[in-house]
Amino acid sequence: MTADRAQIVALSAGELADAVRTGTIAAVEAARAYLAQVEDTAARLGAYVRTTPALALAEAAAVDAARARGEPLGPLAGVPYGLKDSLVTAGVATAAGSRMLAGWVPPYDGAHVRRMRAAGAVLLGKLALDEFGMGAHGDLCADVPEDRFLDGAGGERASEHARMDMSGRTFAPVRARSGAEGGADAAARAAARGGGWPSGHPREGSGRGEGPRGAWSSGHVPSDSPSGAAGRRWSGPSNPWSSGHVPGGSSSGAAAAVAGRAAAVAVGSDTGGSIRVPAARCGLVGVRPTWGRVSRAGLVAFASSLDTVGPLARTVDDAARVLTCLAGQDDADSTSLRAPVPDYAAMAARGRGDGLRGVTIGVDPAGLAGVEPAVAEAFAAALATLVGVGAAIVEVALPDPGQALAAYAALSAVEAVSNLARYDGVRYGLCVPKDSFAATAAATRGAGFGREVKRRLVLGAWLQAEPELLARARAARATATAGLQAALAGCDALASPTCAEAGVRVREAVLEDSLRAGRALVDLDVDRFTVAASLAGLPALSLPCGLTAGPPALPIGLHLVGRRLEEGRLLAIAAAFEAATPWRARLFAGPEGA
Amino acid sequence: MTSELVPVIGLEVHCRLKTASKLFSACPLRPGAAANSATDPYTWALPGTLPTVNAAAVALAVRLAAALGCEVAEESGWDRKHYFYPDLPKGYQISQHARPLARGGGLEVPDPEAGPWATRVIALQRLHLEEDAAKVHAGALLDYNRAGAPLVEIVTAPVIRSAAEAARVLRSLRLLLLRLGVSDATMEDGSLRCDVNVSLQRRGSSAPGVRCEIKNLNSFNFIERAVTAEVERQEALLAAGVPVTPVTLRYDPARAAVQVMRVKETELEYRWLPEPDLPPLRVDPAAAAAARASLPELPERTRMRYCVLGLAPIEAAQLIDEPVLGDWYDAALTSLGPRGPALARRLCKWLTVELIGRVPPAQLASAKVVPAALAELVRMLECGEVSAPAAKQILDLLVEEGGVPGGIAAREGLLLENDDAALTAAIVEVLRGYPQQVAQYRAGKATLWGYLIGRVMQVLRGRADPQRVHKLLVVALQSPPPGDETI
Amino acid sequence: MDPEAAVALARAVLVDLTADEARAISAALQPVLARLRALPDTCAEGAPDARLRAEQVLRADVPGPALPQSQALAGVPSTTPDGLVRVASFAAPDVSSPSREVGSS
Repeated sequence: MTADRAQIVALSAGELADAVRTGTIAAVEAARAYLAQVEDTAARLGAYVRTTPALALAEAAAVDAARARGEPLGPLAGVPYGLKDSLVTAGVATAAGSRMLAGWVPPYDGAHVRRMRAAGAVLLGKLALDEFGMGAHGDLCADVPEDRFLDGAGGERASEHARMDMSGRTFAPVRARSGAEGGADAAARAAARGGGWPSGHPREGSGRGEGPRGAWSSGHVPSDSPSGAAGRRWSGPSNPWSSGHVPGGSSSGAAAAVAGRAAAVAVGSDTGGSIRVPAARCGLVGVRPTWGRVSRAGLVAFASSLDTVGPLARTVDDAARVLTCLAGQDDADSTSLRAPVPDYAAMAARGRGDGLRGVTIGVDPAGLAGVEPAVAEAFAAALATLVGVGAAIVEVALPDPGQALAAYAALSAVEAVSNLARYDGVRYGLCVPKDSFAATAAATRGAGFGREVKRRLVLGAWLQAEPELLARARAARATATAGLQAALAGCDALASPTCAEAGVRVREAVLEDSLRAGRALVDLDVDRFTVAASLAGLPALSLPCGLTAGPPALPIGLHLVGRRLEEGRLLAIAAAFEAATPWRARLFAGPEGA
Repeated sequence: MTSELVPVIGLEVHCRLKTASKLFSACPLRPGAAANSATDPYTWALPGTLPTVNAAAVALAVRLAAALGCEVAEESGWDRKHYFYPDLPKGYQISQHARPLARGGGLEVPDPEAGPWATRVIALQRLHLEEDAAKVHAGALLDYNRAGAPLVEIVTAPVIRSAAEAARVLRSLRLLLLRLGVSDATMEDGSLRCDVNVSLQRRGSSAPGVRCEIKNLNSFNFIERAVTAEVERQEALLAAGVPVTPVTLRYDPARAAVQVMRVKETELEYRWLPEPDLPPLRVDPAAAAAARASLPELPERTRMRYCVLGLAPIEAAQLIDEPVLGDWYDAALTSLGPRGPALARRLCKWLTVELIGRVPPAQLASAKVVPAALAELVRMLECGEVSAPAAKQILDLLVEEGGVPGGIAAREGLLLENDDAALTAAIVEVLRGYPQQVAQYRAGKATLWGYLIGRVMQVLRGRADPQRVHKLLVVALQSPPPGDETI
Repeated sequence: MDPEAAVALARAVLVDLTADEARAISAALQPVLARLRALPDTCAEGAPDARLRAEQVLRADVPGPALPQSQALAGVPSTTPDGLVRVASFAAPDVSSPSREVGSS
């Protein structure tokens, strides 16, 4: 890493934007630094499924040109960022971590890339995720980079792949992918001119056809390798803090990229905890906004009434800046809220400066049963820190997490069945032709969806035939919502650990049914602290509150839930906390800083 | 045994609303466009796309609900109806299931069995908005242009008593839709579609029979024939002691028979889900009231008005069943002002016989002859300003070149001589010219009357009302003008 | 839920499962189903709606651009020369729309 690059990637997004605005650093310089960083970390992190270097340099050049013309720059001017690959980008393939959408090139931009671009941010690429956002650990990404592009024109890429793959890593090096991405960029430009609908249809079996992949250097093995894969294959990004631990899901690539300095910030999505859990596992600030605060237009839907989009960042200020850009009413999403968007960074700054006098934070001691000791310790220390900056802690009773988790499992599965019904092999994406429509759709969906997605579809289908149980799940959601609202009537925010355990080890594939059953429950319970806010549509965030002793030292997350549309208050609390913690610098330095 | 059974029929009607864009996206609606050339990302159900509700579709549906006397819900809801079929891009249709836009109301339809002007009201159960599916062409080929077009579904109560009445209900609904301007309501292009539920019930019993549904009837004649065939099918089953099972049927026009497609779905099979992507639909009660206040005269009210104007039932039906004709007629009638009612019947004849004989209804709107011109011609005829043959001649010219009938009549010399003095002068001239015939007539040779009239008309070159000439000739023969000694 | 039931349920939502998948999924779902069955049979009426009620949003009926046919069809697996989307045959018994006509244009 050159000194320049090290200096650039060490900056927070806010510092970088300020530097670009003042001309200290050119946006193109920042983009180059991050692109080099992306390339260097690709083998180790596997955060990106597709990079967009040409697009990044073009967007950065546009920022520099605007500055040269004396035009005002956006709040994220020149900030290189990554988008979770469930966020649609015109001209850049978007697969949501699924073989089903392999090679699909959207003809339109989602709200998120539009807003980030408008703010001056520079897109580095698309980030890995658990398929359709369904996964707690980040080890269920079925959209293996690169191999889907092996086609008639792929000989060159294949050789390039071989050349670049000297490390023995199993995923695509950046250069190898840039060829494909260049085409995508061209397509994007064509689309922008109205001259091309850049959609590609994958050949049958693409994404599966390459056979066994080499071993993941970390020994990271997916839980459910597709049958027929004799060897281990890539199934998602790595945790920058420890290759033996999962990054958390489903915004796994987003967390790995930001924590690994392969993006200044990232935009992810959160359904049951998919921003907050990976943020906690990777030592980042992750915000799940109020449902409706950020447009869902352009988010590949998993469970619409629970899905949200928000930032992952290294600092509270960065998260606040990105949220300010993402938030706000959008004509393309009828459920987006019209409430004015405050300057979240300013609110965070006030919290940092003024402390938390008069702020009350609710804690449910009963909820801490069964929490890993290191996490419990860090949480207790976090509460002490909050008190130290003026907050008052009050005891509250929170909704039963078991019921909330069950309601979440049920309702998200039922909505997933509905949202994923469109993937039938007729109009786009994977198609496995058979002699009838129904057989084609069933074969396509059988081949295109991974096992975890199928598990949830089976669960959803089962529930659709059990309307009485579904009604109970809806009632449990209402109960959880009412419980959170009641608790928040007596305090400004609710605090808990984000996850009960400090790190989850990369897992071996399970083959015994008894283990599968156990693992399913463990996976469900990952969201025990995060899922109630999802059900209630309330804003929540996770921020780092410590590290385990290690080795490896693993980040621990503090979870805050606020009242409707009070993201600003949560960020103020988070900023005050962040400023008061002694190991802030250690966390900000990231895993490399150890 | 079977004679005790009476058919109980209900209709589910889908009609496409006349909007510029689709129900849930700004995608343009272009009827007749090349296949798959009028689509957008939402139409294809591309990942990440979300529905946005078309305000005009809501307004048109509220207008229709107001006309049908439905109670419009202040808040209605959207639901997803799931089924896998390639014409349904999302794998579900967004409809209104649990909370429809409107409930109740009724459609007034003619009841000819009860009398020529009688009507009855068919109660409605609900009216709601939903999106259309793609068009399926033979050979498993799909055109998504239509996918997402706005539909309103109207469900009648099962109160229709015969196949003929079922067809009448749909005809009346079509006329209402056209009058309101909310839909093209054309069965041929699919902008009006109908499913029919049929069951048989014992006369006097309130126990409902087993319902079977005939899908996708696409002409008025087919509805009548299909219902008749289905009633016969169910009667035959029951007569043979076989219970009717709930099935979905299709009408095969070639065989004039219904055929079973499958066992009827239950609601569970549609896996209904409240639509999470749309907030509830709110209709301000004031907007619903405004819709009611701005309604035009509805077709059955028009029929009553024609009855009062003295039109025959068949004439009224002709004007109402052909909205172009009815609108033209009303425009002509209005131009006559207070004289209208007196001339209504004559105007109707001149429109439906004379004008339509010259200009087909479809071309009426673009014809050179305008309603006020026909009305004026009829008035001139009534007032004796032109003769009937001359009026037809004037109408020919109006069709050919437009203009006003008075001007054409004057130019062509077709106006009748209206001045009694001038007519009398002509009569006197004839009487002087034919003294012998006058004397013979006066002496009792009555057959010469026609001869004298003929001579007068000849002098006037036909430009006089024969009746009037007749009257004046009587006067002239009985009382010669003072000072005239020659006669 | 035994593996056969998992296959049938997957079939209902048009997903083919291998025997291995069916076994794995049915095993993984056992504890989840148990938790769902244990949900209290309470009536939550009166509890606030989990979702915020967004303001009424209606779109003005102004048509936007249409995708040109060639672009719209670029990702479609099979099309005809005149731009129709071709799918594998679907027999009449598959029909389940209330508003469909099958036939010539």
